[in-house]
Amino acid sequence: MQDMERIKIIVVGDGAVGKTSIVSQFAESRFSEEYKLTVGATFASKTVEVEGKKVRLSIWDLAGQPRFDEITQMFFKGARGVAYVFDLQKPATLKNLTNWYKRVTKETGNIPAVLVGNKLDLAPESIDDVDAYAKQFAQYLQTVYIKSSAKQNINIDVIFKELVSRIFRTKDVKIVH
Amino acid sequence: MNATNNDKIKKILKELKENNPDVESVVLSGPDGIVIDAILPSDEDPLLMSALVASILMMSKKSVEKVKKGLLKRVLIEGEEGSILVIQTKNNSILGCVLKKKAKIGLAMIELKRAADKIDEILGEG
Repeated sequence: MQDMERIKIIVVGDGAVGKTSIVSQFAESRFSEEYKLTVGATFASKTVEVEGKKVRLSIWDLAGQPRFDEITQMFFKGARGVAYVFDLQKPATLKNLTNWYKRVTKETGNIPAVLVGNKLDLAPESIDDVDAYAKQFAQYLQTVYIKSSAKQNINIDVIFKELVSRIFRTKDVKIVH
Repeated sequence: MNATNNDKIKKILKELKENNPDVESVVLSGPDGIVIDAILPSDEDPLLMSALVASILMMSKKSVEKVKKGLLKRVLIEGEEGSILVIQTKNNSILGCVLKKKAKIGLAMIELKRAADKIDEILGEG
């Protein structure tokens, strides 16, 4: 295996916000209209080049339904970055990210994060309130707020590249060239 | 699922546990990880057990697919103090059981498969 830095990333958020679609679009350039519940967790990997450095990402897409909480908790360990995902059509999924934040940081500490508002293609015209709340939450997370569409492949690469870039900036990560 | 089918499934799970002293608990989960029924010790949470066996099965299924080894037949997880055996029924529900230490695994596999076939008959897609 190549001597390349490997980084574990987790993708979390409520059920049906589009986590699996984001990961599939990113890792396999694939989107399915059909909703398929993630049972437990699924895994994908992809090599990305960020700031001239190549890294191999192992991406854990975790089930969002509360019945899987005890199982998904096991996958938090070792994560170096987290994508918090919500559905732009459903403000409750954004508000619930505070619970996800508590659960994740309890296990991992304050790791680099990105906040993702997904399903931009389906979002109502006026989402000012959601945007305002999301920006506030992103500020709290000390990160950026990215609006994406897995279906239309809008900003999907940006999510992961931004996250990797933030991981690079943390002191404890050594990148092997 | 109607009440009669519920009763029939409960009976199958009970028999699975009672007929084999090595079986500690049995759970039947839907493909979405939601519990259909379970025979468990009182200190075990059926919702968690159901989510657990469904996750085990789905991740194992994906692993077998990824390494191109055909369809998943069963999952056996061996711990120091016992084992977990999980299979999928033809109607996509998931049947799992927890076995005692030194359990006769082969026998338990046969019985679990037999129970899964009976469940398929009840759910009409076997």
